Amino acid sequence: MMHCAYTNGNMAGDMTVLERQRARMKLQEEQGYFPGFNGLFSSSLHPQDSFMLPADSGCALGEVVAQAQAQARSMNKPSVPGFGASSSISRTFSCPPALVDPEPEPRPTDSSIGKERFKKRKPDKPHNAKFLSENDMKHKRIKVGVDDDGESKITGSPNSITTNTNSNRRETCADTSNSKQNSKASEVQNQKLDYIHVRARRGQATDSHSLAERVRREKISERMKYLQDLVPGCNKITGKAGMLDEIINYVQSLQRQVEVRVRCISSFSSTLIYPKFMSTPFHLRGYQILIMYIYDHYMQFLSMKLAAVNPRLDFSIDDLFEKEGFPACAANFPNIGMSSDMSNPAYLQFNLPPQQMVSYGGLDTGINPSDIDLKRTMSAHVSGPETYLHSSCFTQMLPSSTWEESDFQNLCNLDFDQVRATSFPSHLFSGLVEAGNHLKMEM
Amino acid sequence: MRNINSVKREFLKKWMWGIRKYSSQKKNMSLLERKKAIKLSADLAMASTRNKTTRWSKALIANASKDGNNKVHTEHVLGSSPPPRRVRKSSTNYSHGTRIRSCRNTWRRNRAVHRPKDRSVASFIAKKLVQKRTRRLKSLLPGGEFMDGVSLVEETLDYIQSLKAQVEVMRCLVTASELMILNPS
Repeated sequence: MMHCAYTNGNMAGDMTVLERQRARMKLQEEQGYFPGFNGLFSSSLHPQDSFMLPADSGCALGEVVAQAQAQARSMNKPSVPGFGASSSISRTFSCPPALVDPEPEPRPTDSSIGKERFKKRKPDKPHNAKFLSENDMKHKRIKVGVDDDGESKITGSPNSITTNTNSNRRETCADTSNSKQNSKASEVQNQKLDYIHVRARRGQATDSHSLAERVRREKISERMKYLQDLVPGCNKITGKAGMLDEIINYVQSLQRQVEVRVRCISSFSSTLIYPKFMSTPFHLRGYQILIMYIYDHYMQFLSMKLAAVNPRLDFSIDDLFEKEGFPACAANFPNIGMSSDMSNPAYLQFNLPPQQMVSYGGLDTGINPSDIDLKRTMSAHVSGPETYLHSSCFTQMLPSSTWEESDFQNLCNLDFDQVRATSFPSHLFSGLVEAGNHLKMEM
Repeated sequence: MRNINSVKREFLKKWMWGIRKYSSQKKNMSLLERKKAIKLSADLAMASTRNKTTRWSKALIANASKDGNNKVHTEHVLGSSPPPRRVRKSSTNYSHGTRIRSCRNTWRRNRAVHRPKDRSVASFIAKKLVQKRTRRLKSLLPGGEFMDGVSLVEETLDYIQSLKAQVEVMRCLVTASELMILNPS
């Protein structure tokens, strides 16, 4: 902190903005996370070097902030370095004690410093800062859960909002795309020059416009960070264009998957199903009973088959899935009235995406690998080593189906609540089997 | 933000409900009709899980209700008439901003010729790429053409989450059906 004030006291008027930023970076790297705020504060308040902030207490910092704000307001605008900074601090100090997060942020507020510095020059700068802060708060409240996957609670969200804001600002400052850096650096120069030669430059958009432009750009890049977490495989790609590309591919693939599955489901849902849809009412109780029935059924079958089947057979079945010619299945499909090209890719995609889905990560529960195993074991059991599994299953489909609409939901609930499924009481089995038989009799 | 499981459950419930409503109207449907019914119900269910808080959901519902056949079903499912105004109207704020911004962009582009040193060719190319891709993304997202950059990214985020949930629910359905078929005991 001493260093901070000292260097800034020395180099107040001589350095360019970039050099000032670099000095600040060095200081903050030395001092660790927290003095980021100290650094911000003391560096931007270089006329007021007497502010030595204590390293720990957020409350004290808050007091100092209030003092600085009071002082800053009394100063005239061009040289009010602290105003923008303190407005940023006031934004981040919406919950002061929690800000002292043990997160190392070597350069937490560089870009915010830079931004405030440019905002100082604008007459509408406070408005911009506050507007930005409001928007950020609002948006971050929505976005917090994306990063943490539902872990962050409401009380915790302001913390992550502020840390996210700061970390994102830091990252936007430090992003690797050359164009951004060049434009930012050049705009840094331009801003400085524009301020000084504000009339000399002909025609360029006024500073408030470019400022708004930059605000907007930074907002966009913040959101892109969230998207990076959401879209798999985006971690290595920096830069807007590449990430947009990934996002587009991902959205397209998701939409295609939905389409494929809709097709498959529509082919499954023959006329046998819809009467059931209509007849069975929505009884939640019944579903819960059925969950257990299905789970029981599922697990028994699975355990039987996994015990019986040789793993090598699984691989051979997989090979068959991939290499099996379409003509073998095409013969079966006309009875169902589907076009072969519609369902074969669907099925292949159904077999292959489970592996893909697992790699997509994050949302797959543990049941899904057992899905894959179950498919393999079923295939081994039902069709023998040669025939293509699903062709045989299609021929069996129409005549008999013990399909129950609620069964789907329960199986889906199985996937959803893996914990509930695994902790399964066995004394309910007998009652469930009866329930299952009862349902079958209904159909 | 939203627990993914609760989203999935909600989606499934609404979807099944929508399908049942549809099938209560028509008894025997061909494959294509069924497919349409399923897709429509899925779209509506997905959109209604957001409860019209996001732009894409509003656009989805508006698109669904535009077509005459679907309109009745849509109203039936959602229990209320969809907002009569078109999607474009709901984006008055954004359209104004985009109009201004587009004017400013052309203005800037014309002026960019005057300062070749500041903007290198690479950054210009990069900008063009980004623009092309944002246009593509907008075409993918329902109701995305009227969004500006910031909201576009937010909406994409939301849409991706909903799509993921939808895909997983459907996958469950398909695996369940497979199980049932292969295990008719």
